[in-house]
Amino acid sequence: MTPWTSFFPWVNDYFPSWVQSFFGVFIATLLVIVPLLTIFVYLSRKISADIHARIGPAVVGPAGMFQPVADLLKILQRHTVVKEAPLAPLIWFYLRWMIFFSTIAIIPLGFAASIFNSELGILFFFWIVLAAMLATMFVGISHGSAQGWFLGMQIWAQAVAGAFPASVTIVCAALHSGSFQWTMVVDQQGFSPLYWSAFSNPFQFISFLVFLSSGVALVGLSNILDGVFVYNDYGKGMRIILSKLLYCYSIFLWSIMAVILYLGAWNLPPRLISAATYIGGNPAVNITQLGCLFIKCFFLMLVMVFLNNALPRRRSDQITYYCWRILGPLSLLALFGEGVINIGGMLK
Amino acid sequence: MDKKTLLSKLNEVVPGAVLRKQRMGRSEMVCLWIETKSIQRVAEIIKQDNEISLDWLENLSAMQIGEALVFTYVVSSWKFGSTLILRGSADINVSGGIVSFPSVTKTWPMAIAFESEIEELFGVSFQDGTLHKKEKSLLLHGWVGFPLRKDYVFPKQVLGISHCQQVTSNV
Amino acid sequence: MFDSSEWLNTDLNTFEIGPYDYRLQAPMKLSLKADGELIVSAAIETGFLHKGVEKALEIQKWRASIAYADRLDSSAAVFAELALCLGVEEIIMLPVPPRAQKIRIILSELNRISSHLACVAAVARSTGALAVMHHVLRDREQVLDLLELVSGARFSPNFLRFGGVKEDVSDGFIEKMIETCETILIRLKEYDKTLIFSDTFIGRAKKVGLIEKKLANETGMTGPNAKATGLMYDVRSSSPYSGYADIDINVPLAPAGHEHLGDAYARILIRIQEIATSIDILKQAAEKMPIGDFCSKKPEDEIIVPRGEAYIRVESSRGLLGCHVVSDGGPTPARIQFRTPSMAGVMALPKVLPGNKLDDLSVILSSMDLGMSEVDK
Repeated sequence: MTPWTSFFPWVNDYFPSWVQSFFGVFIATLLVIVPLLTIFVYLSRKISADIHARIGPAVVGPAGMFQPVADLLKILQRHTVVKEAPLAPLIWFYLRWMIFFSTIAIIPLGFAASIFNSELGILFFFWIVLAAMLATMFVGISHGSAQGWFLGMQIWAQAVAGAFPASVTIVCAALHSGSFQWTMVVDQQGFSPLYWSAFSNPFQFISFLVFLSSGVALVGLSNILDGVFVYNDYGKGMRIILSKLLYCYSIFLWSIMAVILYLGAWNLPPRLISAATYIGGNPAVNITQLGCLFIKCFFLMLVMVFLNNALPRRRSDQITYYCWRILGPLSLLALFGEGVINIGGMLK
Repeated sequence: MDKKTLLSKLNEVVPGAVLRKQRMGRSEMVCLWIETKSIQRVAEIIKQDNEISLDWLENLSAMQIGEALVFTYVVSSWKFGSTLILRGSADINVSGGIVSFPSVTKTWPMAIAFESEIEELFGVSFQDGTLHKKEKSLLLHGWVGFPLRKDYVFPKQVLGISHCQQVTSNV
Repeated sequence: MFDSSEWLNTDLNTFEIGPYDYRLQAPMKLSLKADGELIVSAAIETGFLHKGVEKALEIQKWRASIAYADRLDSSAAVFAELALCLGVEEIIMLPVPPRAQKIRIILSELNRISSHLACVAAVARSTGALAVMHHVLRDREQVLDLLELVSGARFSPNFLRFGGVKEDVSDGFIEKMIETCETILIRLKEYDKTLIFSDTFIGRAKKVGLIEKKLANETGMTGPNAKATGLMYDVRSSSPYSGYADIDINVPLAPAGHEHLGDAYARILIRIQEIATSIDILKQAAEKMPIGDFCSKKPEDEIIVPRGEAYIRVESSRGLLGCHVVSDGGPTPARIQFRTPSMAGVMALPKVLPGNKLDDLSVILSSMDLGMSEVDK
């Protein structure tokens, strides 16, 4: 029984746990993830417009707030007129989407909002993301064209290059918290930035920066494949929506992992917890925790949007070089340093 | 090298090649009419001679004057900054027929772009050059005729699209 | 020991890119053979923007030909107009008043600045520096506003006439132009900080699309692409025309032995320096602008071009633009042929691309600033 079903105890009498999980994922996607990503899309467009000395969305709704809705309606009406979609890449496209969104089942969305809380929670996350990038490679390869092969292999090479330092930093974070379990990671941190993992020691800070940078290589480039194939070859409306959603979701996923591992997760000041409990009990506390988590996550996502728009982009081989030759050794340094600190702590 | 010395050198090496010398319009540039069959030889000489070194084919244009196609080569020297203009001509034997002319691409590789365009628009076949014969690249596939010739008549339709009538402006 | 049928397939991949592709600046077809991500050979097919400008020029009367010359290349329209006008003026022996010459210089340099800013924006876009791209295009708008103030049009001004220009510049134009020049000079320093000296951009442009001086010579390359290889040729200083003889021109040139000689980075640097040179020329032209007529012929005067010809050279934003004007004494031109600078770049492309990565394709093409419109005419 998940904490959320404690509010509806009759659910356990009628539905098995797998059905509860299915609906949990469905509702989390529809009511939490999609609206959040819609807001993120709007904010990122406005911020990037500001960086570019443009106005950005300004027509539909106050300050262009409903532009994502207008775009959704427009894109849904798009049909391909040239050719039918080839089957193999289409299958891999949907598979990739399913793999990515299955992570919703294991994202901890607050103290009581984890649908699945395992002792290997963080590692599950990481391996699912890697599997999704493998599926991305197959989208390209199954296309059968030289360009598909080339793009697919390029994306996989970058994903592997980003995965190595990312995996090392995850081990480093787990070493700091003592476990790969989400709740243990969160409990080791406090609400104040001084108690966040990222600022607990220099090696954790290095680990945090490496984790963020490697995320760009690991998840940030699937958009290129979509740009080439989805918009050109099999760009029916819903597929374009899914691919845009996936791009935003991958950034969201990596940011939420970073916030939970390093930036205090959903920890709130004790007074705020008491106030929330007084107002609405546990649900109010959970919602406040969710709000805290998403504010930090949004902030991080918008920093990434800012950097993406303000700086030139490195070439594919330069990214892999950067990951293997710079991020890799830094992540190992962070792990080594964290190990020494831990041993020192144990010896005391 | 001054123009007199250049002329005498050419007359010495390729006698009879230079048919006439004139000024290019009202400018100071010298224009030499060259016999068609000697164009390639003259080109080689003016490029390879160290004192002339006209190694840059700046422009190659073609125009129809009467029943002849006139080719104008503007050649310059990177080393000395001098310019010379060569001219050659070929008769359009048969209305609509292909005109043959020697190619200078072996001497000046940059001539490929000019010769390719002239071949397509004027109906010329440049001989003994490095230009690879390729399908037309400027005009639409299935285009008949050579548009830049004076006797060219625009067809009423091209690929099913009607062509608007020729209008002379009143400006 | 090894069965060759089990070996990995290491044949070269063939990529057909174009005629419309997000990596291309203008329609052209590239057939690339690549070994992995390394380009091994390239073939280019052009002709997608053939408009028949030269035939159209023969059909229209002399005065109308100026508007057609504009259409040779939209981003560098003034240069074609200028070349045509100078050719006809040479045949007719028509003097151009000094004031008109200075106005022509101003228009040419404004067009040059606009063209180079567009190239810098294109390179910024190809390297993902979207912020810089938008900022450069915003600054370009100020230059286009000036062109619109003078001629009524941002891109195809149709402002030059045989014997001068269509009309005099309005009051306040020169002051506004100087103000814009000062703004752009400040912006050039900003581009240095945000793009030119950025490690990421240097990493994307260094040793990319290397053009050697020998190749530039062989293909007859001119303009910023040639100057970036160390090949010095600028018509404004070697054969001054239209009042450039009174102007001091500091032509930028990549020094021999420079680490970036001939690469995409050098081409962008040269263009940025040419913008600064153009601003200097504009200030000098504004200072030396005499009072007088703006055209030696009135609009109602008939243009009669006697039998004759002229070959004119003009330094356009992409290099040497030549114009061969031939008149048979009739009401329409007998032949007007343009020698466009981008043809050399297109010829050099099959030798420039091999050895570079596929990802660098858009950087190379944008840094070479090939005007396909003027190549295909």
